[in-house]
Amino acid sequence: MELEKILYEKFSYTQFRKGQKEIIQSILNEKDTLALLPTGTGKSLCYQLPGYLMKGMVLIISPLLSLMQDQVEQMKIRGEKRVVAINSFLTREERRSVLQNVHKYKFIYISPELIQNDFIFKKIKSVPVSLLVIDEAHCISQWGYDFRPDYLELGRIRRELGNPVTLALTATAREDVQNDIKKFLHMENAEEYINSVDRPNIALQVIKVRDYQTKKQHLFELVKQLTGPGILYFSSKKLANEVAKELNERSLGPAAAYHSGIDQEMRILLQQQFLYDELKIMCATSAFGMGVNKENVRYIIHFHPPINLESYLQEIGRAGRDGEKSIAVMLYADDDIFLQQQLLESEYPSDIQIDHFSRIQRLKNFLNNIDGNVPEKTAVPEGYTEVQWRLLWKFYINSKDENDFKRKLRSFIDERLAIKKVKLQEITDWIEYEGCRRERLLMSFQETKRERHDNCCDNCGLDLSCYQQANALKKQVLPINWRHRLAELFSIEMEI
Amino acid sequence: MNYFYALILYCIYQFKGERSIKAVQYLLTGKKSTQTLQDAVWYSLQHLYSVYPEMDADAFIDTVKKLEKTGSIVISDKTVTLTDSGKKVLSELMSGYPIPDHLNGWQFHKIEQLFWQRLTLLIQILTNWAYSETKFIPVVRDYPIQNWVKRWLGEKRQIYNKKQLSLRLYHELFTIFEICEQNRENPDYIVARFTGYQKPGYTSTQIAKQAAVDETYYLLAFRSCLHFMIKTIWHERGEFPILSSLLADRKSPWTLTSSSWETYKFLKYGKNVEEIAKFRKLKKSTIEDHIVEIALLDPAFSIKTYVKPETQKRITEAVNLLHTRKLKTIKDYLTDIDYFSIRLVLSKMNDKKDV
Ligand SMILES: [Zn+2]
Repeated sequence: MELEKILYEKFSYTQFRKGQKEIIQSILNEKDTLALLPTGTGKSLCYQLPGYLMKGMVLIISPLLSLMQDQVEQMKIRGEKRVVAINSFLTREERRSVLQNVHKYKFIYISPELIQNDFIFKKIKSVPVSLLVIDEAHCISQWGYDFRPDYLELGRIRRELGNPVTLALTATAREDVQNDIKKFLHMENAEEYINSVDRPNIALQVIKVRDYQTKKQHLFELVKQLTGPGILYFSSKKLANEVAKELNERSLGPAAAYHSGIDQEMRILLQQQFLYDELKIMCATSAFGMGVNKENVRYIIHFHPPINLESYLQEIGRAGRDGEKSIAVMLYADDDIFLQQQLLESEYPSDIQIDHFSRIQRLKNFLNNIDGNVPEKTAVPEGYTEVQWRLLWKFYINSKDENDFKRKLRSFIDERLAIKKVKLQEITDWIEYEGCRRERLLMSFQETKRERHDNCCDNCGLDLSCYQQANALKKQVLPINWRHRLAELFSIEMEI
Repeated sequence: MNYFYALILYCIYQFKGERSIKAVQYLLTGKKSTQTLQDAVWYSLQHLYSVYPEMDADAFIDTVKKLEKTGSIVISDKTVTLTDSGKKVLSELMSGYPIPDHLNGWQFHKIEQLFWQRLTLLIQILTNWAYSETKFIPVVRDYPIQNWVKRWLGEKRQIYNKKQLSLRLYHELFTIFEICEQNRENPDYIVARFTGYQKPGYTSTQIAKQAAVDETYYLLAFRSCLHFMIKTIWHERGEFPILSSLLADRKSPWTLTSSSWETYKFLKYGKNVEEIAKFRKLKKSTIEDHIVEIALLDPAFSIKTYVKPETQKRITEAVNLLHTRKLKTIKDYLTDIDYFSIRLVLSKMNDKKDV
C-alpha cells in the first residue's frame, strides 16, 4: 500500500517503527482501536497519518497541556497549517476565531475539560469527525494511576459525536484498566494492539544510598562518568535549580534547570540548546514535557523515585530514542518514600483548603443571591495548585449543598490516595527487588520478559564501561560581546 | 550581591513606612489595581512598576523573612519600615549597582514584552531565511505575535528582498546598540538572548552567570536597555524605520483596565459619577476608583471638574506640610475635604517621568 509514501511525504521517515503500521491499518479499516506503544516510539504518528487518508476531522482529547502545545508546534514545523489546540493558552479572541472557522481545521487538540463546554462542543459537532483520539485513555479508570473524573464523560461525548472511529491510547496494559477503557468509551469490540512497554536498549540500575548527602555525591560522580546528554529528574523545582547551579560550578555542565517555574521563552531557549547539544544536562521535574524529540539522550538519572512505575517508564522513555545503548539510574535513600508520600497527599486539596474554599463560596453565594448569579469558576488563586482548584470546583458544582460537597470530595480523595499508596508500594517493592528488574517491571504491567540481553539491569549484571565517557571535550563558553554575536547571527563578515 | 534584597529594601524606603509588604510585591509584579497604581505615583516608584513580573511569590516571602530576621526591616500589622541598619544594607548593595538609569516600567511595561517578542522572533526568522531554513521552532509561541510578524514580513517583502531586509535590520540594531552603549546601557544583555539559525539564545540565568551579576540585577538591566531602545526608537522614527514599525500599531503607551475604560467612555459623554454608577449597576466608590485610575494614567485628564482649584491648593499644601502621602493623616488634617478629592490631587502630584 501507499502508507510508506505518505509516511515519507508528510513525516520524512522512510519506515515505520515497530507497532505503528498495524494500528494505522486498523484505524483505516474503520475499527475502534485500543493501542499501547511504549513512550518514545512515536504514538502521535498513529493518528496523524491516518488523518491524511480520512475525509473529516481528527479530534484529539489530551489532558496534558504542554504536550498538546508541543504536538501542535511540531506539526506546524512539518508544514501542517490546519492544526490547533483549544486550551487555556488561547485568548478569548483567538478561541472565538478558531471556533468560527472550525471546519478549516484537520486536527484539533482539546482538553477533556473544554470538550464538555456546551458552546465549544456544539461548534465541534457541526463538523464531521472521522477519527476520535483519546490520549492517555487510562485516565478513565479508577484503577489507573492517574484517574481524572473528566474522562468519565468521554463516553457520552463519543456517542453524541455519532460514534466515530476511535483510537484509545494508553500507557498501561493492565487488564482492569483496559476493561474500564472499553466499557466507559463504549468500544467493547475494539481491536487491541498492545506492544511491549519494554525498551531493551535502556539498562536499568538502582543505587541505594545512605542519605541525602551521599546521594548528591553519587549524582556528581555519575554525571562525571556517564556519556551525555542526560536528563536528571527531581521531585522539586528548588532542588532542580540547586543541582543545575552546582553542576555548572563544578564544571560538570553545561546544565540547566527545566520545569514549570521557568518562563516559557526561557524554556524554548533551553530546549533548543539541549537539542543542539549546547546543553549537556537538563535538571527536570517529573511530569513536565520536554518539548523536543531529542533522539540521543544517553542517560536518565532519578534523584528521587517517581510515585509509580508508570511514571518511571514514561520518564526513562526519553532515553535512547535512536535505539542506541542508554542507561537509567535511580538513586534511592530509605527515607525517600516518606517524601513521596507527602507529595502524594499534597496533590489533593487539604482539609484546610476545603474548608477555606467552602467559606469563600458561602460568602459569594450570599452576595450572588442578591442578583441571582450562578457560581462561576475563577482563576487559580494563590495557595492552590491547578489540580486542587479544578477538583474543588468540579465537586462544588456537582453537589447539592456544602455538606454534600465536603463529603463527596473527601471520600473521593481518600479513595484516590488509597490507590496511589498501593502504586507507591509497588515501586518501592521494585526498588527492593533482588531479581531481574526488567522482568519485575514487565510483570507489573502483566507482561513477561521475552528475551535475555546483555546489560539488562544491575541485578543481572551491568557492564558500565559502555556508558562511560572517554575524556570528553568541554565546550568552552565564550564571554558575550554584542558586536560579535550580532554579526554572527546576521552572517556579517566582521573586520578585525 | 543579592540585588533582590536591594530592590525590596528600596521600595520599602520609598514607601516611608506607610505601606504594607504586599504593596511591594504588587508594585514589582505590576498588579493592575487602583491601589497599586496609586502607590507607584504617590511614592515616586513609577520606574519600578511591573519591572519584575517573573518574580516568584515564594522567593519573595523567603527574602522578606530573611530581611526581617536580620533586622533590616520591621513588619507590623499593616506596614513595613526600613530600619537604620536596613538603610545601611541598602546603600551598600546599591553602591556600584544603582537601579539602572532608563528603567521605566510605568511607561513601557505594556509594550516592552510585545516589542521584545516581535523583535526576537523577527530576528530568528530572518537569520533562518539566510540559510533557506523555514522549519524551526519559533522562540515565541504566542499566536497573535506570530501572526503579526508574518503579516509584517508580508508587507515589508513588497519593498525589500530578504537580504536587504535582514541587512537593514542589522544596521538599525547596530546603530541603536551603539547609542545604548553611549548611554551606559549594556547591549550584551539584549543580544545574548537573541536566537538565530541553529543558535539558540541564552537564558537570563546563563547570561547573569557569564556577566558575573546577580540575576535580578540582570533582569532589571535588560529591561532598562530595552526601555531605552523603545524610547529612542519612538522619538526618532525616521532613523529607525524598521524597528519603529514594530511598534507602529501602538498609539499610546498607557492602558486602563477594561472596566475603567468603560467608565472613561461615559465620562467623555458628559455623565457624572452618580449617573454612571446607576447605569452600570456599580457602587459609587467603584466609579471613583476608576476615575482615580484614569487620573493616574492619562496625563491629559484634568481633575478640575472634580476638585475646585482652591481645594487642590489646600491639599497640595497639606501634603507638603505633613510630609506624607498617607490618606488618613491628610484627611484628619483637612476634615472638610473628602477622600476622593485627596486621592485625585495626589494622583496628579508627582515628578512625572514622561518620554
Ligand atoms: Zn535484568
